Amino acid sequence: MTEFNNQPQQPQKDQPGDQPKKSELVEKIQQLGQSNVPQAPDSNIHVLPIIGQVEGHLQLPPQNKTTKYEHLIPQLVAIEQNPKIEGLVVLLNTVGGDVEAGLAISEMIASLSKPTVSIVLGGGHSIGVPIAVSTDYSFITETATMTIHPIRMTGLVIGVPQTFEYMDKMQDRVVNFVTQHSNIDEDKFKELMFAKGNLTRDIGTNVVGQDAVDYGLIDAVGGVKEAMEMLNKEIDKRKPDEEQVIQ
Amino acid sequence: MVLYTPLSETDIFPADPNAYDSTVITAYKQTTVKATKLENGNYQIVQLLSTDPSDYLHPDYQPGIQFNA
Repeated sequence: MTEFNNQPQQPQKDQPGDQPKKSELVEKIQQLGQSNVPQAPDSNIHVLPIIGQVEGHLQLPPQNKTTKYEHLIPQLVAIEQNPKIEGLVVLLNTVGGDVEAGLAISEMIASLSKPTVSIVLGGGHSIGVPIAVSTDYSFITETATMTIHPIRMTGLVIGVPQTFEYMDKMQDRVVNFVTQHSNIDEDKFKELMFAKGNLTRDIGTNVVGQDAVDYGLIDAVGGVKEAMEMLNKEIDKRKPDEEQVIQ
Repeated sequence: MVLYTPLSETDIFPADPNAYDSTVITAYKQTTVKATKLENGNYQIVQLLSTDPSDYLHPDYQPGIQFNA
């Protein structure tokens, strides 16, 4: 043991150039808490995490956890273009955020040609709802929640009637997107959106796990296993067609 | 001080503009990472911005790894 300990110390003193090499393992343990992480082969399924707030035109203060739409949109284009990628899983744990950024992400996911699946994990609130329903098939974990409520804004308002009209139209865009991409009908969705008494001091509804499925908003209750099974099934469905073309 | 307002905290207390400086989003090897600048001039990975799940297992992309810009 003593010999082993002495060996790395000697070159450190004599040859300073060797120092980074010798301390690499120690550095790794300090940084990661472990010496090695397992490696995996290339995956044909890519993951798009939507975490924290969906950040739009305004950069949020650094203490916020955000998902920036300017990152996600090129990634979605790359996923569509890359022939090695066969499916996409969208993981949601978001408090909502910018309406237009959220709708942009939702439209991008909805228009992908590859099979897509979403999982609502902790929460998929507000603008997380259209993102969750934008995929081909959506899952919600049993404990996850989705808050459905009217859209809001902060900041300076110039011209109240015009702003009101604009907000009303913006809300319609959200309602239309959700009703077109899920099994919930417009009346039910609006009823949940304007419901009184569910949220203590606010209008709206907090939909939990199975309730979201019962309303037709989400397709099924499930987690990673169910989502992967569904995605692999969809990927396999598309494969025989390609083989026939080759023959 | 107690505030009673519908405004968000950040509307009343604007964020320190310098707070944005330490964090950068940069290309690193084959991917993009969010990193903070350290005092020794190196960058430390805070978050990996990738859709490839295997990147998250790649030893070079783990949060905490330091690299030179």
